[in-house]
Formats: sequence, structure tokens, C-alpha cells
Amino acid sequence: MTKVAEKPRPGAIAQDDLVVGSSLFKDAMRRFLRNRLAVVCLVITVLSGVICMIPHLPGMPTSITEAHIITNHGQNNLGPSSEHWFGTDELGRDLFARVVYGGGISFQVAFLGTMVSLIIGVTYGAFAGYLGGRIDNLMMRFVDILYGLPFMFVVILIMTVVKKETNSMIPIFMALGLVQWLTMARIARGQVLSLREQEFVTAARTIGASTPRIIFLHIIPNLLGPIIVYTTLTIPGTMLQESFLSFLGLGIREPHCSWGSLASQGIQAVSPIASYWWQVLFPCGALALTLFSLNFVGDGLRDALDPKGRQ
Amino acid sequence: MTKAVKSKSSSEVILKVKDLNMHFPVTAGILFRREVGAVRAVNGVSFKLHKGEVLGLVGESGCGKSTTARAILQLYNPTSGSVKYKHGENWTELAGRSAGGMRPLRKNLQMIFQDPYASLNPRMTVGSIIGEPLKIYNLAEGDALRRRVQDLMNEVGLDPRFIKRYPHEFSGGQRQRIGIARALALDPDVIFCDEPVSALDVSIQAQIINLLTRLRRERQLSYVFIAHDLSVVRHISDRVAVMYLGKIVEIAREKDLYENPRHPYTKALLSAIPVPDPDIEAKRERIILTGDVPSPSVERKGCDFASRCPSVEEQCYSEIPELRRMETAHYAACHLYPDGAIMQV
Amino acid sequence: MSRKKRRRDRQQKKVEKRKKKAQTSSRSSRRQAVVDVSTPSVGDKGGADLENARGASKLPSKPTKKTRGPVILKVRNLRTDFHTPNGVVHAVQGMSFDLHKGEILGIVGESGSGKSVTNLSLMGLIRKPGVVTADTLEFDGQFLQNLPDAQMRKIRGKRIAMIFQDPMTSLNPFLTVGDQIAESLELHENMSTEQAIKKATSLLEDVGIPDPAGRVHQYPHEFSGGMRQRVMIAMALACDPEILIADEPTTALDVTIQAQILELLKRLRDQRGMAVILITHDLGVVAGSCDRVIVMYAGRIAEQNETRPIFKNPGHPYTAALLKSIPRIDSSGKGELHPIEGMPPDLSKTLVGCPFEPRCEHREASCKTTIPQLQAHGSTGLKACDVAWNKKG
Repeated sequence: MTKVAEKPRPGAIAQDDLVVGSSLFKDAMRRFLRNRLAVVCLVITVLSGVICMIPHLPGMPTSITEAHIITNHGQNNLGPSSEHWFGTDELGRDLFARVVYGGGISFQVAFLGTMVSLIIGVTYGAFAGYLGGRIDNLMMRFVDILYGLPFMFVVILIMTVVKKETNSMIPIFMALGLVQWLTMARIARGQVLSLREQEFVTAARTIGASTPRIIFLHIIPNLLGPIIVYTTLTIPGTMLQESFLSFLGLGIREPHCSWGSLASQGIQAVSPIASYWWQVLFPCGALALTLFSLNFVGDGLRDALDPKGRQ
Repeated sequence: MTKAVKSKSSSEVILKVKDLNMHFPVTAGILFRREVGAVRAVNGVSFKLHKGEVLGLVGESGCGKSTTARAILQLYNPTSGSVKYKHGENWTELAGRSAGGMRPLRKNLQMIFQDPYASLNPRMTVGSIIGEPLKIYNLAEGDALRRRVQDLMNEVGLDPRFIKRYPHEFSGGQRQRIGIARALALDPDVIFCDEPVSALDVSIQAQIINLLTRLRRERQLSYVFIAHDLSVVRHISDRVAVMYLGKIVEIAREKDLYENPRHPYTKALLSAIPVPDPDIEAKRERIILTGDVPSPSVERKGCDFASRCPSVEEQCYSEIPELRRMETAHYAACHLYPDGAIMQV
Repeated sequence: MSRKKRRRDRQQKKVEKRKKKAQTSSRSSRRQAVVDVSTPSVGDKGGADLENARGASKLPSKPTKKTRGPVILKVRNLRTDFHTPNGVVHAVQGMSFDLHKGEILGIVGESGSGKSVTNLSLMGLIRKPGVVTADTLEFDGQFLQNLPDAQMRKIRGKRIAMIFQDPMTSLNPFLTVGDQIAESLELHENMSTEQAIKKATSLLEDVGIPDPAGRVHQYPHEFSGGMRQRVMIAMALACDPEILIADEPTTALDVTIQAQILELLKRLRDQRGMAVILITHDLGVVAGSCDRVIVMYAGRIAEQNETRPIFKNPGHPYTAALLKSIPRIDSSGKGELHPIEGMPPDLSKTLVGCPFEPRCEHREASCKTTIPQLQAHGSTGLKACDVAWNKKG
């Protein structure tokens, strides 16, 4: 239901008498904050993100950064204790340090991978959708072709082409970003196709606005809703894919780790002879908690940004 | 008691539209698109608009009245035809101009839209919406811009204190006022009003019509007033053109058209409009047209209205009628009236 | 007066009967328990019951020139509230009216006046967060407000049918038109598919669709807007309803098509003797088609009368103002229209005076503080206005 403003009263007005409206974004935030589950999940996500990122920040040498690669002979495969909260792995490394450090890697890969796809995808999709016609057709067929390439094949190709000595994260960003932006571009284009037929875009053309002005001032701000939602739902997807790659041994390499590679190692440590359950539970639990939270945050945002869908 | 306030339009012509065609291609094929036909949305429209005049453009949905306006403003690229606008002392051809070429002329030719919800960017404040044209043409900045915007808000009956509010915080009628203020910002000569009141409630419609009438008087504006509501069009217009399937079938001064319609379609259209008076309704004879409007993508050899016309003749299927003179400033395109001179633009 | 008393007694009996029924029948969560109608309502009941309306003892069913059929639908003090996060919106605030067999009753009002919600409430189609209450909702001797959902469904679609504004979205694009008409026949009348399709074909013919035998097997997208509205009407007519509720049936259509559909509705009414509720915002449509009119404003009845006096001798300033604000096709009146200034009130606020008071040109000091009750206007009408503004009335 639209709010009804007061009846206008003509006459001179003082500057400080201005009535400041509330933007759609503010309204959406108000709705989001009313959704308790989503807010709790947002807090969990932010907290775990911050904790995991601390060891990765420059100029913050903490014990975790060192602890996660220090091997301690004789302390391998210890269960959780007051000294090693999450236990240790088969090389005696402190699992808590590894989970926190690995979480940082997972977060970085997920966020940066999503951001790469966001920037490329939205710009590409917005231009294709707004320009339309033959250009749109060509641009989207190109997307279709990329879609057709098998994901694993592309990833393996990138991983092998890029030298192993360089920071091993870059090929992962590239691989994930390259795949994710395709969907983002399609979503953005679809939205733009309906937005550009809206009368306010025509109105902008009748007052002589240029194409970049229309795209960046009138179209992209109105894309934000669906894009934000899709982004929050993409982040867990990317995180999962990174874990999957690491699980297969294609992602993060030793001695570094991510939640995926930790889980992979943990699974190998679980055997009928000796069940080192903590090596699977803690990395997988951390991953699952984060994924759950991100998904709920995404749902909450969708409800908040698109209140029509709820009722 | 409020009769004859109607401001006189001068005889000076400000806009000439000749043989305007807007055909949208129908394409097939996925990778290599080819044209397999065309939707003839506007099919040879010609008219003149005088300075200070309100020309009503009426017709049913899909008759091409909105497309005509958009093709004149070069929001679509017309397939063929000419649109001449009197810019100062010189005539300027609009058809075929690029977006950049149109930009200096857009100041003079503005548009008001139908949907007060879709025509305002929901992410911008009222102030930035109304001020946007001024910004694009670098006409005002900072405080001066704010003052100009607030003057405009006052002029259209909006409280200037609401300059920082967002469109969704206003009612439909007020949003339409915002759209009008935006169109006025550049001080145009001609405003194309595309169904400006049809999305509004009856009691609010009258407010907006009165506002448009007042603005026209005060600023000597010319309107091309597009609507499907013939009562509203009659109230506001000096001359009225009736469109059917992309063509003007009759054009005349308001009184002549409503009291002495010639084209069978105009007659049927007028008789179909219900009048809010049960006594008149009981007495009125209604011409009920059978069937539906035929497809605009089929090219016909004869009159487009022939398939529904109550007074159809054989000739109607084989020959396209042209707009011919009935009386002063009254033209109709129908084979029932073969004698008058063909309309010239 | 004795007539009134008798009526009262009858009412009392019915109420008691209903109470018993309410105790035994499983109560639908949507429709709430009834309020005892026999206690006269005082104060803010928004013209709660017509029998108690001041100076309108015999209303609303006064005998008129036209022979009017028996009452088929009786509504008393219908209220619909929507509980939204921003407060309770009182969409309908005490509607009371009778619908007679064979009449076309127009309900006019602007958007948000509650005209559509009224009819959705009648049909039991209001969903959470909406809550419907009524003293009486009587259809052909049956009380609808306590009816379990299963029974309500039997009435809905079969004995009371509805058509909606948008014929484009009201049809399922994946089913042929014939299948969709046949569906309700198979459901309510236990017809075989073959029989149902046959009936569907004859219904399509009834509503004026050319070549019905061929078109019954076509899909909705093969029909134009006007034709789809005819299909909708055919669907509504499938089970011979006693009441047809048409919610803005012509708003999405062109005027020449609108004329066709209105003619069709009138013809069907004459042929089948069904009652029609025609909801519209267009006073012109009302003038040409309806026998009786209810004008709604802010969820209440502003005025109710036969069609002619509504236009010739309006009882409520709102009706008069509305008539003055619309331009007319049959006059060249230039210059100023007479708009109704301001906007309709916020329905989430509790009413203390006449809802139209802020926009009314005949308002008096008392209008701000007393809510006007429905009272007699002329010989046939009711109005919710205490001011003697209309010299004729």
C-alpha cells in the first residue's frame, strides 16, 4: 500500500522545513531488520567473516597465522582439548587455527569471486539489454557458448595454465568468476529488458538524457534489488564450489588450506580403525553454518526488497 | 457558467506531420533474424498543430495513438514520413535525427506519461526528478536549481517542502503533477500528453485536467492530448483526430466532430460512450459494432474499418479512402463522402 | 409500523436459529462469529442495520414502480479489516444492502472505496490478514457467514459466480476454453466430459461468440480481449448462477467492446432472471445499465437509490460532486471542471466524523464530530448525510 502524503499547502517555505522522504532502500532495510532470523544470520555471517579475516589482514601477525602451518610431532590426531579447541590434524597442526585461517581463504575466494562476476556480469548484461537488437543477440550468444563449455574443463585448464608458483588464489578467482558472471549477466539483462520499457526510461529520453546517463542513473540503481539478492545467494554458491575444487585437490594447495581442503583431509582421516571425527566436523560445521546464514540473509533481503512477493 | 473560457489558438502552425509511418518488423530465426512481416502501428498519419492549440488524439487501444507521439518525438525511429517543427523562424525536420541531433530540440517538445507509477524513477527524489532536465542542459545548479524546482512544484500544486521525498510517498494524482513539473522544467512549446489522466480516479482526473488547462493558458502551450476517453478529450481539445488501426479516419474541430461526426467509426465510437444520465441513456441509440479490430500486421487493399462497418460497400474492400474535406477544418476518410478535396499538410 | 415489528420478530427467530447452528457447525476461521442483530446498534456502526436507520422504517425494500423480485441476498453490517504491520485498515465499514432477483445493482466508488473488497467478502474470498464479520449474510435463506469452507465452495461458482476485470489473466493459458468452462460443470453438476463440452459450446453461443463449435477447442491466446471477457462470462454462467458479480468487467476493454459486453449482461439478466452486482468506477456505465446504485466512499455507503434519482437528485454531496467533476461527451463545456479537492481518508484511522467532511463543500461544524447514519432520501433512497444541502431532497 502506498503511503499518502499530506495535501500540499502552497506558499513560501523555509529551508529547514523540508520533509525528507524515505527511499525505497531505507524502507527495505526497515523490513529487513524486522526479520529476526535474517538479522541473526547476518550477525553470524559478519562475525565469522571478521574472525576468519583477522589473520589475513596485513600487519596483524597473530598466532593463528603461524599456528596453522606449524607441525608438531607427537601431537598428531589429538582430540579437542583446552589446548587445541578443535583438536589437531595428522601432522599435529592446530585445527582451530586451520579452520579460522582456512575460513578466511574461503571468504576471500567467495567474495572476490562474486565481486568479479558481479562487475563483469552486471555491466555486460545491462549494456546488452539496453542496446538490444543485434548487439544484444550477439552478446548473449557468446554467453551461451561459454555456458556450453564444461565447467571442470575450464577450471582445470586455467589451473594448469597459470603457473603454480604464483599465489594460488588467483586462478581460483578467475575460474569461479568466469563461470559465475554468466548467470549474473543473464539476470541483469532480463531485468534491463523489462526496465527499459518502463516509462521513466522513456521519460529520461524525452528530456534528452544520454545513454550512459540512462544506464548508470536510471537503470542500474533499479537493478540493485534483484542483484543484491542474487549476490548474497551467489556467495555461498561460490564458497561451495571452491570447497568442491579443493576437495578434489584442484583448489588451495598445502600447506595452505580452506574449509573445502580441510574437509577433504578430514574425510581421509576418518577410517574404521580410528575415527578422528573432529577433523571432519569442525571444518564442515563452520562451512555449513556460514552457508546456512548466507542463504537466510539472501532470503531475508529478497523479502525486504520485494515486499510484493511475500503476500 | 464556465463556457467559452477556451483560449483561442493562433493560426500559426508549429508542427507539421506528414505521412508518418511506424512499422515494427516482425522477425523470425534465432541467430540470423530475418523480417517476415511488419506491424503497421502508424500507417500514414498527417496533421498540423497550431500554436497554443490542443489537438486531441483518440482511438481504441492498439490504434497507434501513443506510437504516433513517440514516433514524432523520435523515441522510435519512424519508418518513413516527415515531422517538421517550427524552431524560431525556421522549420526543422525531426525525422531521422539521431539521439544527439534531437537533444537541442527536446527542450521544446516534452511529454507527460500515462502511468504515474512507472514514469518516475523510484530511486530518485522528487527534487532530482524535476531537476534532471535542468541538470542535463546545465541550466541551473545548486541553490538556483533547488529554487527552480520548488517554483515548478508550486506551479503544479505540490508542496515544495516535499522536494526530498520519493515518488512512492505520493498519491497517483500528485505523482502525475511531478511528471508535469518535469515536462515544464525546460519551458517547452509543445507537450505530448499520453493518457495523462486515465490511470487516475475520477475525482482526481478533474484536478489534473484543470491544471493542464491552466498551464496551457498561462504558458501558451500546445498539447497533443492522447486519450481513449472521448469525454475528457472533448473537454480539453480544440480539435480532435480519431485514429483507427494506425490511420486518422476523421479530424475536425471539437464541436463539429462530436455533434456532426461523419465517419461510421466515429459515429459508433461516440454512441458507445456511456453518458452519466439515465434519461439520455434510455433514449440513446447505440451502434453496437460487431467483431474485433483486425490485425495491424496484415496489409489491406481497402478501408481498414470495412470488416466492422455498418455501411460498408464493395468499393471499401478495394480502395483505400483518403481524408477529404467535409466542411471547414473537418476531414474524414470514408467512401461515403467522395466529393471533398483531399487534405493537404 | 406493524410491518416493522413482524420483520423484527422474524429476524429474532432467524438469529436464534443461526446461533444454534453456529454452535453445532464447525466454524470457519475466516468468517467470525456473528453479532446479535436484534440489539439496535447505536453510535459508530456505520449505518449498521437498515431497519434501525433513522426515519427509514421500511427501508430498504420499498415497493417501487418497477416490479422487483424477492430479496436473494441480504447483507447487514458487513465489515472487513486487514491487519497489516502498519495498523488495521478498515476496508469495509458496515455495508448493508439487499439484492433482488433479476436486478442489476451497481456499486460505484473510486479505488480504495471498498467496492471490490465488499464482494470478495461476500464470496468468502478474503484471505489473511483480512477478517470479515457481518451481522447477516443471507443468500436465499442460507447464512453464509458460518458456512464451512466446503459448503461455501459449493455455492461459490455454482450459485454465485464472479467475473473479474482482467480477462487476460483470469484464464489458464494451458487449457482450452472449452475445458475451462467444462471444469466447473464437471465439478458442480457431475456432468461427463462430453456433456460438459456440449454445454460449453452452447454457452459460448449464448454469450455471442461466433463459431462456438470450433472455438470451444481453442486456447485463450487465440481470443481477443472482448472475446475473452465473453468466455469469462460463459464460464460464470455455466452452472446457472442466481447471482453474477461482475467486478469492473469492462474497465480493461475498449469502449466499443464495453458496449457489447454491457448489452450482453443486460440480455442475460432478462433471459435468465439472475441478479447482477456490477462494480464499476464509471458513472456512465451505471446510468446505462443498472436498476439500483450504491455509491461507496471510504468503505461505507454514501448513498443508495434507484438509478434515476442518483443522477437527478443525489442525496449525498459526494455523489453530486462526483457528477460535477466528470467531463461529459454530450456537452462542449470548456473551462474549469469541478474537481473534488483533497484525497480520500486514511482507512486505518478511526473515524470520528463524516469521512467525506474534509472534501465536502456543504460541510457543517457537526460533520466533524458525528458519523452520519443512513437515512431516508426521497421516496426510494438512503443517504449517509445529516446536512440538508440539497433543496430538492
